[in-house]
Amino acid sequence: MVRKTNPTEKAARLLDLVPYLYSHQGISIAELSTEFSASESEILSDLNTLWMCGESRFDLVDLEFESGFVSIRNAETLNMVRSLSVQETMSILFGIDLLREELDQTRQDLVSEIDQMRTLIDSKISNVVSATPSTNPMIQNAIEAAIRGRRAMKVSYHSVSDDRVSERTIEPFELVTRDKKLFVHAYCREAQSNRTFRVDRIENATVTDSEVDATHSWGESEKAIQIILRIHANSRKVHETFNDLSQNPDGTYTTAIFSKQWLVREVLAAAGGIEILEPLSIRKEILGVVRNLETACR
Amino acid sequence: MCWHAEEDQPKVRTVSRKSERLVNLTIALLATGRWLSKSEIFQSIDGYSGDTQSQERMFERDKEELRNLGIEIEVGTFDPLFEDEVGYRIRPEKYRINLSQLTTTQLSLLSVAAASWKRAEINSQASSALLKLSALGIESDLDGINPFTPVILSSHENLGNIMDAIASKKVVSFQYRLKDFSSQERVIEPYGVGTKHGYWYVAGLDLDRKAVRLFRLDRCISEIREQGKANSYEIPPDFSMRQQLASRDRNNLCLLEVRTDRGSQIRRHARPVQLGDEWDTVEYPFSDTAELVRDLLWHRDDVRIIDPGDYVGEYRLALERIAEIHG
Repeated sequence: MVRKTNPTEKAARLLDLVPYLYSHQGISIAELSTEFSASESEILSDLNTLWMCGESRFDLVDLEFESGFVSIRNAETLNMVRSLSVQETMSILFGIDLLREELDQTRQDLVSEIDQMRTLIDSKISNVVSATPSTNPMIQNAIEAAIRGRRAMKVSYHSVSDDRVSERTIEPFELVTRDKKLFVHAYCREAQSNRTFRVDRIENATVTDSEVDATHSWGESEKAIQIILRIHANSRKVHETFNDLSQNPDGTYTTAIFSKQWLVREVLAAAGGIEILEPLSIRKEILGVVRNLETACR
Repeated sequence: MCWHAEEDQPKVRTVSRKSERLVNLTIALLATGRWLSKSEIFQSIDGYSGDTQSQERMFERDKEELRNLGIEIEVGTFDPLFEDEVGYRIRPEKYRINLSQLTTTQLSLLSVAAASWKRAEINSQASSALLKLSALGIESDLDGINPFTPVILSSHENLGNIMDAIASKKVVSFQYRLKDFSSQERVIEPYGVGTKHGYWYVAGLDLDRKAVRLFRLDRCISEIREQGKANSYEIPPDFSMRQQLASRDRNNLCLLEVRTDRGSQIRRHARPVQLGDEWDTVEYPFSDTAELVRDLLWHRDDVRIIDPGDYVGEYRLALERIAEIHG
C-alpha cells in the first residue's frame, strides 16, 4: 500500500525529523515509524542518512539510536519546524471549515477565533478550499455519545421508502461508512428489530436516560434482494444509483438492493431509463403504480 | 552508532545520497550568515561530482526540488557592480514556521483541525502537518476541545494530485464521466478544491470551454495528471471555492402541491405558499425539465404540479415509457 518515497520526499522527512527528535528525545524507532507513517527500515535508513549530514564533513549531526531509542545533538541549524507547505495548509483549512460548522452550533465563543485564524494562516489560499460536513455534526456527536454511554436515543428519521418523517427510539450499536455515506446500525424499538439508518436523514436526535438492552446485538445485516435490470438510456445517474452493477452476458445487469420501495421510486425517477426484469413481483408492482399515476393525472 | 551493511540495500544507498545532499545543502544555506557562491557550495558539500556543467545541472535541480518543498532560496549578488557572481542563502525566519500571531486557543484548534483527517484514508499532508505541530509541542487532545473533533469521512485517490497541482499552479488533465455515461478529456487550470455532502470537488478554468467549471472527483475516471510548467496561471483573486460549491443553478420556479407530512426533500428547497389540511402549496426552484420530472416521478402521488402546466406533458410521456417497457 505505502508508496515508495522518492529522494526529495525523503529529504523532506529528514528535515522534519530533526525538530521532532529534539522535542521527543529518546523516542523509540517503532513509535517514529508510526508517527511518520514509514517502515522501521525506512526510519533506520533515514537516521543513517541524517547521521552523514552536517555543517561540514567534520561537524556532523550527532545521533544515538543503537538501543532502538533515538536521541539527537548537534543539529541546531535544522532544529526549526518548517513552514507549512501549501498542501499542508489546505489540509488544515478543510478541518478548520468543518470545525467551524460544528462549533457554530455548540461553542459560539470559538467561532470568531477560527475566523481570525483562517486568514492568519494563509490569506492567499484560504479561498481555494471549502468544506461542509456531509452530516450534521450535532447529530453525529449525539450518536457517538449514545454509543459510548450505552443509552437509547430519540430520532426523527426521514424514511425514503414511505417518504415520511417518523419518530423512533433506537439503540445505536455502531457508526459505519459505506459508499461515502455515514450509517448507524441500531436496534429500533418501534420495529422491534435491527435497522440501518442513514445519518444524513436523521433530522433530530437526542440521547435519552434509558439504557440499552444488553441482549440486543448487531447480528446479520438486512436481507438483500437480488434484482436483474436492463438499462434503456445509459446514464451516469444509473451507475451512481446502483454502485454495484455486474453485467450479464445478455447485456442485462444484476445487483442487490435492500429496499423494494426505494427501488420502485428510483425506477420511476429514471423515467424509462431502467427496466426491472426480475423479480417479476416488483416489475408488476411498478406497472401498477404507473397505471395509477396515469389515472390520477388524466 | 549503528551502520547497516550497504551491500544489503544497494538501492537505499543511492536514494540516501541525493537526500543527504539536499539536507546538507539546506544546512549550508541556512547556517551561512552571508551569500554562498556556487563554487563554495560545490567545495563544501559532498555529492556535487563531475565537471562544472554537470555540477551546475545538479545544483539547478536541487534548488528546484527544495523550492517544491516550500523552502525559499534567496538569490543575491556579492557586489552590486559585478552581477555575474551570485550567491544563495535560506533565511531561517522564512524557513521556520511562524504561528506567533495565533493565540493558544487557536493553536489547539489548528491541531484539532489537522486531526480531522484521522478517520479518513490517510492524507499524508494532514499527517505531516500534525507532526510539525507535534514537534512544536502543540497537541490536539486538549481538554474541552477534543470532543468536537470534526471528521472527514473519505478522501479521494486524486485529492493529493489536485492539491499538488494547485500548490504549484500546474495545468491538469483527466478523463471525465459525462451525464450520458460517455467520457471526455478535460484540461483545466485548477483553482480550488472542496468537499460537500461527502463528495470531493475541484473547480478550475476549463481551457477548452474557457469558463470556470466544477468537477466531482469520483467522476474523474483517470488519474489526474499534471502537464506543463509550474506557475503557469494565476488564481483570480475573487475566486471562492465556497461560492463555487454553493452555486446551485435552480433558476426556474414552479408551483407544486405536496401532501402534508410528505415530500421532505422537496420542502427542503421549496418556499411554502399556502398550507392546507391534505395538501400544501409550495414554490419550488428547479434546474431543468428533466430534473423536475424526475422529482415528480420519485414522489409518486404525493406531489402534483400546478403551474406551469407545460410540464404535465413531459410527465405523462415518462409514465408511458415506463409502462411500455414494464408491460
